[in-house]
Amino acid sequence: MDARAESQTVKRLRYLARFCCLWGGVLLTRLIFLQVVNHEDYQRLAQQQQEHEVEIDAPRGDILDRNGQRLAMSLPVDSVCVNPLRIPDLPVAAQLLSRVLKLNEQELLEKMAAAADAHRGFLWVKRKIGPEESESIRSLNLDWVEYRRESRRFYPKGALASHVIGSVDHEEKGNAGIEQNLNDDLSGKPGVARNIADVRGGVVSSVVFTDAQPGKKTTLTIDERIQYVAEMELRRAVEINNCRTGSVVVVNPNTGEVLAMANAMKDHEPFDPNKPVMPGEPIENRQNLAISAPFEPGSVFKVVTLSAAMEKTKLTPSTPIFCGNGVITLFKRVIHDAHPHGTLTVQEVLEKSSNIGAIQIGLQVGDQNLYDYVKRFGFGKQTGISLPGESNGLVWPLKKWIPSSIGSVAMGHEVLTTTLQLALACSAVANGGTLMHPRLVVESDKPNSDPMADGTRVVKPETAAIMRSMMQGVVLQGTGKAAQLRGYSSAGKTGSAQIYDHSTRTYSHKYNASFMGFAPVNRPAIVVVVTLNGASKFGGAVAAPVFEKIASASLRFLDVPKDLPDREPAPVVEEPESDLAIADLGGTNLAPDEDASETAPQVVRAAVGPQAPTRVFGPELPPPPPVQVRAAAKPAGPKAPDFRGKTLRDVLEESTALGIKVEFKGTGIARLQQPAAGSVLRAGEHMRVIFAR
Amino acid sequence: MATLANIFNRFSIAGAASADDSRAAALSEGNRLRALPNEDVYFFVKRIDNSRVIRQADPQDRAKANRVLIGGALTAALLIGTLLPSAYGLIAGYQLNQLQAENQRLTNERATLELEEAKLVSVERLQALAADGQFQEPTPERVVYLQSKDDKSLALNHQ
Repeated sequence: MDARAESQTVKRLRYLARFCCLWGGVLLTRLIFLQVVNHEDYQRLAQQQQEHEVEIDAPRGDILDRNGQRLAMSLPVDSVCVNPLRIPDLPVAAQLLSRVLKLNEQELLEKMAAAADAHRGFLWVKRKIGPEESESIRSLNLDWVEYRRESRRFYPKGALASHVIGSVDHEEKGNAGIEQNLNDDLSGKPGVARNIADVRGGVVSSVVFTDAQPGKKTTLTIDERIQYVAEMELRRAVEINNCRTGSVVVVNPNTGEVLAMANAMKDHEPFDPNKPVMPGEPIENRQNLAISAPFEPGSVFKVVTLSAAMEKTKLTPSTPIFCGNGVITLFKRVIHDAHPHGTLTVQEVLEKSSNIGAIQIGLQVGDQNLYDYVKRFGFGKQTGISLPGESNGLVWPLKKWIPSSIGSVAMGHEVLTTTLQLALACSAVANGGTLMHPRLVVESDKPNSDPMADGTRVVKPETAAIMRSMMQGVVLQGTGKAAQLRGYSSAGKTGSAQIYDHSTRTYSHKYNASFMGFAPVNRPAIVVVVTLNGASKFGGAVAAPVFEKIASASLRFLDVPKDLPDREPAPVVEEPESDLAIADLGGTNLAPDEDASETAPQVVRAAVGPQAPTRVFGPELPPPPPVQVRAAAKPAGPKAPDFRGKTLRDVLEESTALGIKVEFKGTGIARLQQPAAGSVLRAGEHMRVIFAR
Repeated sequence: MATLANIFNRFSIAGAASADDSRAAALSEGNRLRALPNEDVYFFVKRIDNSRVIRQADPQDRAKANRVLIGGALTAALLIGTLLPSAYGLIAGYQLNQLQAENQRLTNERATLELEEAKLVSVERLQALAADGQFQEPTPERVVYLQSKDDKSLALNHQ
């Protein structure tokens, strides 16, 4: 019995052993099948599942000012997206998201519904939201909301230097200013890495194939403090003087570094690159007018004329120039000066801004020489600054000059310049005669390079010194008294160019009022050029005070030692007569035979006043008809009598008898009057009469 | 049986057999197995009581056991040594990724703070704060440069 039981047990053990061996064999076979036969297939599947190629973001480079203040920087921010197919209740979701993210609820609901209907599993709700919005929406813990990290550009200084810095589009690609010009350097290059992730997506290992190259940090030559003062003072001047636009450029004349570049537009907030384009915002508000909007410079251009004269003629600052007592005939054109001058020295021509004097000097210089010097000073071509949209300005080729062009160009007409070009030309005078290449970006890889070596000599150092002295005279005793600084010597030139109105084909009573100057005189540290477009007063009255404020602050910021005792500058006496005389050329009341518009296609009309805006035309500008510009009168008073040719006593007696208030300037015989004889005076309007011997 | 062997035995070992016979007789009675035919070979069964026998340890067992243990330990160590680096690499990978994420988070936080700082020190804000605090721009005569930066300047601001 025992043996039988024993043999049964053994038999069962044997069966079990055979079964185990068989099972082991099956397992082994399967293992071999999986790990040897199908090895490559499963390895490929595993790689697909576990390995991911990811892009390593290259952050966009920061933009700093010369003192290291951040003007532009990029930060990763959240972008909100949803899977419309997972949203339990679309209207509620749209309401919630629109409230938190400040979106239009109806539009969002329509988008989500359309995506759900199209069975799309992805929909952007709002991209690149701010940190506050991100915190708000994350705190809701909505599982159907997803987040993606994207880079967003921030401009911490708001609108400061916005025309220089520019802006980027939604893909962080520069579309204006430095952001556009240096987009390749600022963007950097993204890298590539391969990540191995576990089943929950946790990265186990990462192999970098290509390193990310972050965008290059760019330091501008702009000084934040000077830029702020320039923008503030310019905006104030534009608003107070009812100008249309204005520009300011501040440059270091010895290096060509642009310390500030500001633009302003009346009744429009400064352009802030943090904000999108506002509806109705004019495109000009976002343009860098200082480099892209050329204009007729007017009398500031006399600096070029006189520089050419100092080198190409035998004229000296003390050479007398006959100014024709306010009248000159140039190639059958009659030109008047509102302030008749007999004889002025060359220096006084600049100080008093006599157009006839400038024409006389220009005639002595000659077409070819004047053209050469205009080109030498960099006009008619781009300066090469690192900004897009720069204008060449306009200088007509010599072959297109007409006989009277010499007079026009000598006074700053028939040419178009930008504010930056004027600043660089003035820098050439300030630094001893070298036209500098404008620099907007600090070149850290060339720390010891000499900027002067890159410049071009335009005038001799002696000529530059003479011009500096003459320009100082403009500020001390000429038309630029408002540009005097406390504690520093300053020099400059005013300009007022009447603006031609194409719609009415007449010259308006608005001016391109400008002032270009530098300080201190002996070792200039800054050049400041102020231009106000559409001003109703002259450069000396509206632009020179802006120069004074900007220059004073800039010299203090730059720790420039004073070169004068601290003394209150001489009070600037306003000359309303000259302002008004310039403002209304209709008062010239030219005789018909003096109107040369029928004998030649271009007319050169009277220059009036110290900053003598003139009607001067280029070869392609339509000539104005010989109209007398009158104020839009409401006939309520007597008619203006004709005082011309009468003595001061006679004028006084007649005006008193008629009850007309008259303002006088000069002595001798009445030469000019405003309004013209026969005009109906408005109630309360008074006349202005200019006397000369 | 009358075989030669029997005969031999009868004559040669008869005397010796007597002593043995007595012993044999004592033994053979209880333990003797049934004799084989025609054989003079006799089998006896002896019952041995081993109940009080203590098994002596095999000295070779210890060595064998030690060899097994050592072999097992070496195998385990080899196995661990083979698998440990990859396991460590796995853990290190997680830690590295965590540290990289932390690094990125700190970098982003720093950038956010730098942005905030830039906004706070903007000239416009400082100007507004100065106005609130009734600060005033110094008049030019109140600005005194203690150390001239340019020895060749024509500074005349000695008072």
